Amino acid sequence: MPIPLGVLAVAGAGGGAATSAFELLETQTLSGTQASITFSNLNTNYGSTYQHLQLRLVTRTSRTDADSDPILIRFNSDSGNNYARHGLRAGFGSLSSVGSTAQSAIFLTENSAVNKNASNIFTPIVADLLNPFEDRQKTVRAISGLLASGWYGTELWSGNWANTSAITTITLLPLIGANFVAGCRFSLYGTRIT
Amino acid sequence: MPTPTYDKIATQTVSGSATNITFSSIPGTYRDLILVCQGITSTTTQAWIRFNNDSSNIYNFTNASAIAAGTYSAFVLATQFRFANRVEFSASERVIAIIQILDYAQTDKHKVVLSRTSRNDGSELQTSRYESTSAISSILIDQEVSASFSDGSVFTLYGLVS
Repeated sequence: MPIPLGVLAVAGAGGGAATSAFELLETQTLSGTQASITFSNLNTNYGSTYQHLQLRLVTRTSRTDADSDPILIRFNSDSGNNYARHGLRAGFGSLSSVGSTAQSAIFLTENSAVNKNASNIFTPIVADLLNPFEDRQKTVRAISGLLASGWYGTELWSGNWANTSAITTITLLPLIGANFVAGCRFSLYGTRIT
Repeated sequence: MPTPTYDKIATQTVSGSATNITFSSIPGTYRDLILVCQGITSTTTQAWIRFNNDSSNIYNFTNASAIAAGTYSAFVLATQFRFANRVEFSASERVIAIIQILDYAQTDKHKVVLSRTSRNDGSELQTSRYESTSAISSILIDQEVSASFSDGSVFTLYGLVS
């Protein structure tokens, strides 16, 4: 039985390479700007081997009119209003929740934008995609945070894609900014079925 | 081609008691570090980590905490990152904390940390930004008061390849 992914379960993973159930699949690191990031052919390449996927991201975008810029995730190039998203936000001395249905993407986090933030301020995101290749609707959960000049927050997001198709493509993109900037890192990991 | 990814770097198990725990000479060959702490202390106390023996006032963090007394959130700038902030270590209830340090060896970024700390009566999520571009080569785990980690407390450091 695979170990559930993510921050809730990393204590159960580990060990040497010979017994590894959690494996790096792909990484993209930007040396320049890029409008979006795509991981493709996922079901073909990984569907028979991996039960869950995890994205580990370090991001910053080119938005210039604010301190933060949400990061979005979509599946199989679907930009229809087929997603629901809910978030718990902690920052500025308070906790709040937000949520909505019939959205065109799932939020993963508020993210560092270039406006007032020093060039070395990036945002960490760890997002788990549970059962991405099975014939049920897809769910995502993500923890993230941004500690920048004008935004202080820790966030827990979850989302649903109302589609039972196996995930073949993951697309990540900024909500407002035109691009991810140099230095961003996007890593995709998988937890083996057996 | 998938790559074996999740390596245990070191484990420290407290025998008797320990005033603090240090992981040093951390190799820079991984992309992320994951520190898993399970333990109790001699008295109730917050617990914190510090990188590279750096006690500068450059550790930013925010918490989302839920304990019996209510929910809390705050932004703090301090000389260490208190990963057990509202959910404190205690002499009776074991705390589990999972601390993820992303891009810890990248010298073009401040170091960013995501953590989750849990006890039987509370849980908290935190984010921290350590305002340094230096690669992290050591981690000190310590407490706010004159306490010690008790017998059987376990601290394990993992490395993730990318």
